[in-house]
Amino acid sequence: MIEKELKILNDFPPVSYDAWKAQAVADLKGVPFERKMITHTYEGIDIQPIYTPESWPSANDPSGFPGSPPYTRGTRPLGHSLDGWDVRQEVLHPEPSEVNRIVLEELNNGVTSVELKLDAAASAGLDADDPRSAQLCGREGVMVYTLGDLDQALNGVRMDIVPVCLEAGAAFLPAAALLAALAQERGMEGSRSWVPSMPTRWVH
Amino acid sequence: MREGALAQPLDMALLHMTDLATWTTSHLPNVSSVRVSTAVYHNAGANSVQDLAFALGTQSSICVL
Repeated sequence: MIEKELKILNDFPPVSYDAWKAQAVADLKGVPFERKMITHTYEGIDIQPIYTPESWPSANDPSGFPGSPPYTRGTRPLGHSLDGWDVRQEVLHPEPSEVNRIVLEELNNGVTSVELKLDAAASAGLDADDPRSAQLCGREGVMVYTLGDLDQALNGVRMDIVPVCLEAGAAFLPAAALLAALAQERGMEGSRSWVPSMPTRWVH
Repeated sequence: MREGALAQPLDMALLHMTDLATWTTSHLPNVSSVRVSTAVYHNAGANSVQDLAFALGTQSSICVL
């Protein structure tokens, strides 16, 4: 029987940055702190080994706090600290049935959301039987043109817990309509699927 | 958009985007209808700073239009 309440924090009193650094310098046994503990990124940014509230005082910061106006730092107070990283794998295979096999295998092996890239025809807003699609079908993505195609590609995918993202380039409206229709058909209107819309990738 | 050109005028695409965002807000509240991808820059060799810079630059040029 546990008679005493366990208070782990009592065993680890707060340590100031200076005390921590002094200990770290001692443990480094002469190796310069700056050389060993500071990471220099490819972009030329120096990343410190530890950050404290003093590193970036947030009082009077115009960016505010996460989850508070003006939402510069995101709409959620805890950000992604609860969900962790979203691991998403883009699927490019042309066949919806094969895409489905790949997607299910990936979901069973650690991927947490699905991204389907629609083929060049669908991304140009064309149907498969349009003469202009001749050279575009099956190129650079999955051949999804109808609700049935999308249903097949996402067969067995739990849209209520697995976000689905369609990458359809400039033809985002038809893709959005497909995904919305599938969510409706499966009774998953509350799902977290993504329909990327804007052509935010164009290059002049 | 991944071909370097749009099939429709930009203002039309923006209109469709805001229409879609409005619609999803009321019909599919958990769905995000807009995202920013820097894959094209990343795949061309941009580092993280350049990725962010180009994303913000693109956003800024879209908002000005």
